[in-house]
Amino acid sequence: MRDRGGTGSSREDSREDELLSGLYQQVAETQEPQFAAGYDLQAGLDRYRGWLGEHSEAAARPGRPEWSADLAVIELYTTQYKALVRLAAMLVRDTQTAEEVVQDAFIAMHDGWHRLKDAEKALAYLRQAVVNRSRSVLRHRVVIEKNAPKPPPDMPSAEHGAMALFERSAVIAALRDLPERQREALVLRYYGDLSEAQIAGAMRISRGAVKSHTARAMAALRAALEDD
Amino acid sequence: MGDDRFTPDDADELARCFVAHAPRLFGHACVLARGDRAQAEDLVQATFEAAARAWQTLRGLAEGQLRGWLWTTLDHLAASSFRREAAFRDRLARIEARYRKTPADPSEQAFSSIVLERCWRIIQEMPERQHAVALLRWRLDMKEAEIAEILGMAETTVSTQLHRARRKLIAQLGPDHPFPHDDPQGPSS
Repeated sequence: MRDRGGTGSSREDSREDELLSGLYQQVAETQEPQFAAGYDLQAGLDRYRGWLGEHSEAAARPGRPEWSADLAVIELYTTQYKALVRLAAMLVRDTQTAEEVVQDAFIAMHDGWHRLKDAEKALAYLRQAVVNRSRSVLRHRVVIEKNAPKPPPDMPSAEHGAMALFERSAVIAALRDLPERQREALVLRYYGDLSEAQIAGAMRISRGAVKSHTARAMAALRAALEDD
Repeated sequence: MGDDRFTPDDADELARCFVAHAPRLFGHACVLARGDRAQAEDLVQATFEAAARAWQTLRGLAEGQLRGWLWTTLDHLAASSFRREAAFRDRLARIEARYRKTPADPSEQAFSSIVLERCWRIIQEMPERQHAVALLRWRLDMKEAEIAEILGMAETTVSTQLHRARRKLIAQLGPDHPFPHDDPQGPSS
């Protein structure tokens, strides 16, 4: 093949371009109808309808303009209580306090219901309330622990079956030694199953800070578990 | 793109729109994807997802304009599937404006069905990058600078690839085509 020594657009090139455009267009015109004829419209439509169903406004926000405080709290209580207790338990490190924290959060939410428009906001509010209350429990505990000897770590929650078993695991032990913010970020991410944005909201910090807390916590955990 | 909500009523309209346009759009997508039906199906789906998000704007368009929007959007989705870096969306609006008008038939020259069939085979066998460049240039009518931008390549790379694709196509089409035979009877050094 001859090398014309350059790739610029000579007059010959542009004549060829015109022909090649025509060629491509005609190739497309002959091929397209054949492919179109072999199209499985039903399958395509089913897939699209499925997507539409998931993404239409009605699906995204259940329309409940008259959602009353009582109903909402009952529904959230049924669906979210356990998960929130688990979340709080990871933060305050004992189940009984965790239950109190979560119940307080529900009461506060019920009182402030008029400010919450939908379930999604209510859940975000609950999570934040749980985080805040857990924090103040921990602060309070620091004051008390200054004056009283620490109880053996496994004792108080040993009655609580699965939770206690869970708490004795090596991961939990390592988790306990993390700085508070790092533990919070990690717990919200992996036990609370919150997104980065939700964690940022619940902890009132930036997404960048969530990232760095989580990353540092993971590194510390990994190091701690490798030491064992 | 405006409001990207849509209601169940909109969903019905969108489904009707899908039935009306999807088969031919699929044909178009298959050619861009060189016969890869699964990729073409994904392109069609992605195009109609984009249509749903832009439906408040699109629903008012005349049939021809709507069709133009669907085809153009699919072209860009196909183009962006070739691209490696992820800054395409920002440029979409600008490029889109350029293709609103349906391209005029660039050639009055008719090719024989043998040449067209042979060309389709050559296209299918091109390396991925070369195909991308050739497709954007000759099928989607973009300039070299735009192609470089979309594919995240140096402009010289685009030129080189285009040059190769051009030579390959013309050399392999055989004798039965109207390209200038500037170098008849095969290669000389």
